[in-house]
Amino acid sequence: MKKIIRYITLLFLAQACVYPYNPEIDSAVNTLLVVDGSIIIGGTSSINLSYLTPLGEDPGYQKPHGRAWIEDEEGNTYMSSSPSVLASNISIPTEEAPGGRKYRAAIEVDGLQYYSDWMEPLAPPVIKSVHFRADDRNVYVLADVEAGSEGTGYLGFAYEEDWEFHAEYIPEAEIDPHTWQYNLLIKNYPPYWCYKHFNSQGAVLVNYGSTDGTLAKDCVVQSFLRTNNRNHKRYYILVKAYNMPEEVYRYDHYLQELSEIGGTLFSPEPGQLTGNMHCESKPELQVLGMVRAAQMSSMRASIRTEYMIETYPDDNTLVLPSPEDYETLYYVSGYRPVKSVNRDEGSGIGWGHERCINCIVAGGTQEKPSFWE
Amino acid sequence: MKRLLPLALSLLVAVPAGAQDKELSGYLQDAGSQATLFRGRLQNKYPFKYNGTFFLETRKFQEGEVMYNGKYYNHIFLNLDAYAQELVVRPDAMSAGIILYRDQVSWFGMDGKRFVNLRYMGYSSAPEGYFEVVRDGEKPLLLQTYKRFRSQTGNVATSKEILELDGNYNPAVVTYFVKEERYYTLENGQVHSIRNRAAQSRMKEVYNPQLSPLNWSKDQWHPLEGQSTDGLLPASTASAGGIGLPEGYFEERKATDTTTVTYQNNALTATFRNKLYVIGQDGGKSQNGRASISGTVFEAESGAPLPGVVIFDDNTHTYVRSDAKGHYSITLPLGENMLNYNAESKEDLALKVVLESNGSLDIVMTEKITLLKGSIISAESMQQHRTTAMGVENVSMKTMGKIPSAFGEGDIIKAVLTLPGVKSVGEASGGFNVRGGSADQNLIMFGDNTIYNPSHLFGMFSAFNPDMVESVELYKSSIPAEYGGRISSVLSVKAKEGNLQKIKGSVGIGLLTSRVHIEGPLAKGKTSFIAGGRITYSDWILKLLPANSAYANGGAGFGDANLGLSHHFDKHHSLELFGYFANDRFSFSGDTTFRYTNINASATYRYKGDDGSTFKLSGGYDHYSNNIAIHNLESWSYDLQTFIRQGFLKAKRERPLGRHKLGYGLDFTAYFLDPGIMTPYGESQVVPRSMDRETALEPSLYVSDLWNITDKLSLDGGVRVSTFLALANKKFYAGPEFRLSGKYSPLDNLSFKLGFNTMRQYIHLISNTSGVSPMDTWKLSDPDIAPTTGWQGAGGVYWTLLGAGLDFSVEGYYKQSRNGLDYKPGAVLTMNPNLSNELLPVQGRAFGVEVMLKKPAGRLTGWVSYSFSRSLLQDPSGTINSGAWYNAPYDKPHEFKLVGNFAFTRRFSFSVNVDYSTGRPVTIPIGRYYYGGAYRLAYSERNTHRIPDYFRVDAAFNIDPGHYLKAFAHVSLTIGVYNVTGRKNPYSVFFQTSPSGTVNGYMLSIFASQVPYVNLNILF
Repeated sequence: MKKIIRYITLLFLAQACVYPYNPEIDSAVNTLLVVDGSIIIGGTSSINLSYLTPLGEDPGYQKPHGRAWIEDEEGNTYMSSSPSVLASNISIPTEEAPGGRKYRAAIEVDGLQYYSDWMEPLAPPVIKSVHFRADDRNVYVLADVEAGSEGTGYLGFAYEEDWEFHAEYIPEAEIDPHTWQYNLLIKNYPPYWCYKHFNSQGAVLVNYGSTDGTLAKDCVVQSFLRTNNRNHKRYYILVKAYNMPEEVYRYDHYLQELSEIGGTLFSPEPGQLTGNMHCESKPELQVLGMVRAAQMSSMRASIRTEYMIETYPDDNTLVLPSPEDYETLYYVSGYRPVKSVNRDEGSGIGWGHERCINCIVAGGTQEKPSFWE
Repeated sequence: MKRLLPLALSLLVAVPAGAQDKELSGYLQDAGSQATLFRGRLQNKYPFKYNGTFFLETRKFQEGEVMYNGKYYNHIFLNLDAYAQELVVRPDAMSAGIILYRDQVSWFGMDGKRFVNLRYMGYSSAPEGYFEVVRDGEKPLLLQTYKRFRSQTGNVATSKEILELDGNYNPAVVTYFVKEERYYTLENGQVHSIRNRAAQSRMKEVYNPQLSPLNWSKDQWHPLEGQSTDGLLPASTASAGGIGLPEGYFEERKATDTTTVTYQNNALTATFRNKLYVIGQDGGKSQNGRASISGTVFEAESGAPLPGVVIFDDNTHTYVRSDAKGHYSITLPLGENMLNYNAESKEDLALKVVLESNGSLDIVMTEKITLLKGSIISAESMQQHRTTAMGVENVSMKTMGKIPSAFGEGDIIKAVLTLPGVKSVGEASGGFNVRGGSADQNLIMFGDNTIYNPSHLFGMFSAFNPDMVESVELYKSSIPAEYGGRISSVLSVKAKEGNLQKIKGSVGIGLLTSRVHIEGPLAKGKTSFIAGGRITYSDWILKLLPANSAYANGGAGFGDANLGLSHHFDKHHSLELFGYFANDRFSFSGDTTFRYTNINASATYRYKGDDGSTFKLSGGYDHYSNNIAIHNLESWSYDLQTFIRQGFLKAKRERPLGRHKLGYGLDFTAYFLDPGIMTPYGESQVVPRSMDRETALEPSLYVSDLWNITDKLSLDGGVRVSTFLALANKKFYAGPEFRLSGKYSPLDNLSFKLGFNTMRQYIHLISNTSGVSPMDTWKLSDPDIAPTTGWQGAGGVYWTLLGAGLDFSVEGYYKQSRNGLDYKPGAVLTMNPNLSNELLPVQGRAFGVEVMLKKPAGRLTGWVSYSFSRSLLQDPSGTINSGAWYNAPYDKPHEFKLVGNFAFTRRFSFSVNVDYSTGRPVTIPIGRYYYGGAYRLAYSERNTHRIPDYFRVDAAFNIDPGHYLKAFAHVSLTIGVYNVTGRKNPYSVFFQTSPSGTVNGYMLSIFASQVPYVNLNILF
């Protein structure tokens, strides 16, 4: 009897399953314009243009090139620094744009005129504090924000990060690219300590569930591993917060959900999202994406190494090339001598990618941010 | 025994023999074939070809005599149906055979043999049927001859055997009746089987007929011809002290008659078929030469009322059906009428009644044990010709048990889904869709209570324990005026009433669930109880599912319990108490736990008048709650609960008025909805909050009339005045609902019907999932959300072919709705105080044609149906698909269904279920783009694509219990395979974007290969 039950069980285990599904999609969709824009009052606005890529095709590297500007309801126009240049990522200075009025984005692409809806940026919230917290694995950047009189229950966060970090190795040798001989007395050490900068993409959405202007505590703005190089020496984060209209929050939030729908029994049925862009020249033409308008408040905070969990590079990732391969296989591919290794198959100078020993190649810069203390 | 006989004889002697002879003789002479002896059910006709005969020896009837219902008849033609153990009589050689009610036959004689009915004589342990007295005396030898039905191919010996029995042997027919003999004796008041052949021989020797002949003389058996009443029994019996009537025999029978249906009181109760029933009084109340017969149909074995019994009059072609409590009322011309009573798995009953005025006639129907189980839905045949309403489907519990379903559990919702016009968005999905309506547009009633979530285990099982259900009716079109509050359909599940006579029960054991039920009398014939419950042990299966199934590390379980009490104060008044509890819990991957609970309770008082009028007053409480526990979000963990609580009061009165059957009543429902209560869990920073409670009242009045204009033409109409008051904002809605259906039957087997109804709905399911889910919330109408209204027009043709062998029907319908609710893309439906901003009032239209061919009786039973239907929605605001008509999520244009059961023998059968439908509409991504720091999906317009078509075949082999009537328990076994072809039917499709930006599409199949199952049921 037990065997029978076991057999039946095994048969049942072959049940609920997930299988690939490749529906036929109309390829005509690849002409649809996608707009991802932000009108930042008191800051720099940005308009990023792209095309929709049909499913099954590679992400579209062919980007639309056009012009974009910001208009306010008073008839003022805010142009990019090079208004005649066609581009797909357009920055528009709006530091001088005043609050309390409506704005919209205007775009010209492929001979068609596009506009966003008119939007009045909400008054900025007040960031009461930016602080850090860590658990066994991550460091969290948290903000306490008072939404203020124009709080909607939804906050958007953006941030700029700056941190000082070091390369993984200080090299023990360098190689002469003419003689292909090692030089153990390194004359020019590659830069080991660098600064790095990162701007958040998209908005960090927080629904603090209240519209009465109460304090939104411990809003998680960013998190990173405690082993991340942000912990190497010093880490700064400039947290920017803005009150987000509900429709904008929901658009961004739902867009994120739509990309993560699991197809379980109770997954919501997906739907087509309509943003706030429209094509003035061809009203029937669908436009994807949204342009937001915001007034931001910001606060910077920093930590040093208090949450760092120190890690050591894995020497096993270093390779021991044959001398005849130094140039053709490794040097031209960006590999450099790193340190001596001793293995069963032999010993010698192990090579690794240059980014392991050069923090600039690893994305850093030696230019110290102006606010650095 | 020895002392019984003299007493019995003395009783007989006390009867003035001459008077009796004269009375009976004269009566028989005058009445001829109209004598009460010949007023019963026609002899069995076995619906298959066979060799041999089911009669004892020969098909030819022989002249004989019988002691029946305390009276002696002779010079009649007799034969014994040895297969059914029924005595069949004919007034003459040419007339049709009539079955005598076995409980009234004490003995009979034919062909020089004498047969006795041991049960009649008080031997309750004796097998049913008749026993030939081979030897009489102190230790008699009794022979019971059975005919068995066999099926065998080409066996020469068997053929010979049959040839000996039947000169009309047909070698092409492989089924035949064969004789089987069993010997018994009586000792110490008990019946003992003599299985040993040697013992049988010895007894024959000891009582050698030559040495001790049966003193059987026709002369001694003709009391009508002037014999003394001593002659009512063979002289040898009297002298030898053998089989005789026990002491006080006739008094005992009288007592038995009254205890069989103790609630009958003064009503005429038709347990005996050989009577001419005179209803009412000469000169009594009648209208235009017509009068009403009303009564209750009871089941003989349990004494429980029988719903759904078809009562029709042969002369006027008038048909009615007994209601949930077995009540019926039929209006007929004064004078003689032939009333037929047909019920599933019950012996058909044909009674001649002489109607003199309004009166009552209760009916007791006995279990049909002789026919193949294929006949279990024979009562459904011709049904469409008997009812004026259209779009009404009955699913019998026995039919349901034969429909293969996942894990072998008989399931009401799954059975309903095999009917044309009923769809679901996918297997293992809660809820169902009827003729283009959404799942929340179905009113699901369990008794008088409303069930808001009719599913267990996210739709794998329905919430109804089949052991606790008496009958199921689905109204797709002609919805009675007494029902309201939903615009699409009504699923009426009637709870079973406990057995009034004896303790019974059942146990079912399946792969995922087990169930038990027990019922019986608390006061015999007066008060009964019924209780049942189900549990599941499905956790172990979910935990072992593949990780990518989304259910890995999940857990699931459910339980439900029913309790019913009923008390019959007398024939007219009864009270019922009903309680139901069901709880579900399940979690996916251990992160979120869902729970939902149904609690229902009600009390119902019923009155049934002698004039066929009925009154019902019921009140109760319905509760539905769900709970979503998200406890893995650390500082954001929370519990979210929603509640529906409603109290109701219903009063309903029905009364026959000539050709009219008038009904009117009142419904009153008070709603208390808590749309969301969020509480933090643990150290969570979630702020506790709750949505405002919604309260409302929904009083309604209705009146209806079923008018049999002529024997061929009938109308059923009604008006329901529906009102709704949202208390919080004092919003009041009101409007009439109209119900009208008509039937014209130019022929007995051909009917045309038209129907029209309008409906209103004030409570709405708020959902953005494809199926009913525990995350869904309900919302009452308010100033921003108007009631959903709709109308449906339908027409149909119903044609019964091949006698009653095939029912063919075509129904078409068109329906429209307004103010249905759909959701905006990205709608936030939970804990949203501005929910109406997320919703879009949509209008809907649906139309379709349903063709069905049903074979209700025979070895092969079942139905095949095809439906073409469309269900479309439109958002006037233009938010969805720019205001164009779009497919409803449950729009499946083509649908083919086949349900079949083939009975090899009375015990073994094979069932198959085939289900095909167009894939349901879905919204799918058409492309991707980079936005907000990640790749996003752009979706098509709503429901413009479809998932692959659905196709499934299920098969099951059923072994029914043996037909040993005295066995303590009856065991049935079902072995089957769900999804025989292993087709990977998709439940849903979804798309995920990888970090590299690649978008992958997936289908989720719930049952992606064959699902074998075994189900064991034990009845006791």
